[in-house]
Amino acid sequence: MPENEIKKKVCMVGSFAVGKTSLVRRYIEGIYDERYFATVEVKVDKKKVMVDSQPLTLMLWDMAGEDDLAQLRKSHLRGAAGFILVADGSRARTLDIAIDLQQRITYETGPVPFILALNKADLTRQWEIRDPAIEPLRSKGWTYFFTSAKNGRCVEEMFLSLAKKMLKPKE
Amino acid sequence: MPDDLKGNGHAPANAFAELRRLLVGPEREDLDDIRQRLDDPARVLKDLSRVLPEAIHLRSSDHKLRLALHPIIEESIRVSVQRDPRMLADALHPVIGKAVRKAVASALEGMLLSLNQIVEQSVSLRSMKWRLEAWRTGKSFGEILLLRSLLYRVEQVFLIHRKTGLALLHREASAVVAKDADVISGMLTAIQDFVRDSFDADEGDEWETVQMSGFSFWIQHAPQASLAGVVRGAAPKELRARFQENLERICLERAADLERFDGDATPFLACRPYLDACLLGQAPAKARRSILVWLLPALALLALGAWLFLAIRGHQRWENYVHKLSQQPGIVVTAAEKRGGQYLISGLRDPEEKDSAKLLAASGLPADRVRFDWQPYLSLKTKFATDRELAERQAALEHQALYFANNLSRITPEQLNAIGNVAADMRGLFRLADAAHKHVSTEILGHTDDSGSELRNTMLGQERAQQVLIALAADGVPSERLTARGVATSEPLRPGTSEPDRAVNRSVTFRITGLP
Repeated sequence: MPENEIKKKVCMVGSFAVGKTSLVRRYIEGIYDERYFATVEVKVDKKKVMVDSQPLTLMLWDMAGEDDLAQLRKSHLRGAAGFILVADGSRARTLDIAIDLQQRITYETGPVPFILALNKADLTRQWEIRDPAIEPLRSKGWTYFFTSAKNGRCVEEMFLSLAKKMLKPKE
Repeated sequence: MPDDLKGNGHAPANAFAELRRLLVGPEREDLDDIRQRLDDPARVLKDLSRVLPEAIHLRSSDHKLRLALHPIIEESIRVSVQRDPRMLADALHPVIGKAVRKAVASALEGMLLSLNQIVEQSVSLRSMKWRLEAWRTGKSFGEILLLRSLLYRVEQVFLIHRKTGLALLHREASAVVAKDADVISGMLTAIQDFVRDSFDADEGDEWETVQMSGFSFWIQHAPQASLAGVVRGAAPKELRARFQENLERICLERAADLERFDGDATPFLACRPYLDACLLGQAPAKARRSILVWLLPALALLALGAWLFLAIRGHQRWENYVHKLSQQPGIVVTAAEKRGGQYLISGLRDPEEKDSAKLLAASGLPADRVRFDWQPYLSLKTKFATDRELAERQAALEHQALYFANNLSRITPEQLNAIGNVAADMRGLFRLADAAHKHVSTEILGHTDDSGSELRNTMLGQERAQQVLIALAADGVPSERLTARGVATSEPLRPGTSEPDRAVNRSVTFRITGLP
């Protein structure tokens, strides 16, 4: 039986310059640009995927990176069916911010699926986030991926994983 | 008991000092050290520099610090620019260059656009029509331009889920190339959220328009959904009511679907008619293809053409006539003018001139509308001199008479002399007429008085004329140009019956034929 197309709003959140926009571009257009463009406010993009023969449209809200949590624009989070927390593996502090963001966003949206992307996995030498920092998250049941927008590592898998989570019937 | 405690009067003071040294000695040293550090500016600076960055960072969210730093930074920049403007210029260069390029590009684009519009509006067929309309209706061109340009079209309509910003349904007018409805819906929602958050706008059933260059978004909100339209041109305010009405219907019919919407927009396909009802537009009023619209100007054109043709032809005929008339011998045209449909020619005309009447008939001009104002004059041209002389000689000859005795037709020797003179005159006249290519001949008329019988008189008149003919021929007048006719009493020279009258009537006279 052909399924109706389903649309879901997904927010990309995280600190400045962790690679949110680059992940979206890698995922949607399959390209990577070395240059850095700060996202102003928010940019909405779209990606169609098939999850177990269910057509799904992801509306990706690529939000401006904020280090100051007070600045997080709650209205953009409204109605999000899931979100992707992006941290920069070469800057340990961005993981702390991501953890903080998770709490605040869940407070706003209710318990919606999310994925942690530890991005810039290609920068192995500068890598700062070690197992001890990740262990508590693993035990809390977080799903995380070591991604690289530059070489495309785990980008598809990460988005698909979130898509599957969002389509799972709620308990 | 130790000496220190009991000895002289100093002993207690020393003991206290010693006690104090023992009790607070280390703290005193610390105090001294701190005092020394505070008194030494170099050390204070060193200490402060260690904590200053963190201190500023700590207070970064506090606007007191910003206020305190603001004038200092401003002044520093001013001094820096005064001292060496190049430094700031170098620092700003990458930003300024980009900004200037962008500004120039957009200004140029705007100029090109308006230039295109001007060219389009001033030379296009449509603008010609507008100009014609302006001329016809007496309105200014600008007014017509506004009136005809104030058209609009709702090109696309989006039904947007308010909470998620997802597009529930999208409809577009035919021939509109639509961008991705989902992305547009998302961005529209994001922009509105941003505006609402940034300017503390109230959330309610507000109406919004987002003006872009060339088009605008008209957005109507309900608690669960929004209806947004892409509008090109200047739409009337009534459009708002239409949006409102359709949005309300959708919200009423699909309240449950909107409430439990979880990404599946299928239930909203049923709302198509409501969205289609919003795809309004006021197309430019099509010109009625009435044949009259074309026929009237065509007829007018035809009439104008005919009038022009007649006017030109009439003018040419007039010019030709005047030209020919002024070439005519015996005519001097001094003025030729048209006055109120009448042609007026004035000048000099020789009384002998007769051909101009024929010219008028051949000219094609209406003879009754041509008036002449001739002053008589004698032309010195040969033709008229000849004509005048011929006329004079004719008159002289026709006044001549040869008289006969009662009942006789014989020419007396005395009469021969007079006949000789007549013959000479007649030969002269013939010569002159021949030179002027006129065929002239002479009729010799024989008259009688009223006495005697009619038969006798007829014979007598014929004889008298015949006698004169023979005499003239004998005197050198070509006989083939002479005819003799007895008129008897039918053309008397005198009507009376007295003897003198009868004597005059017994005669022969001459009639010249072939001259006007």
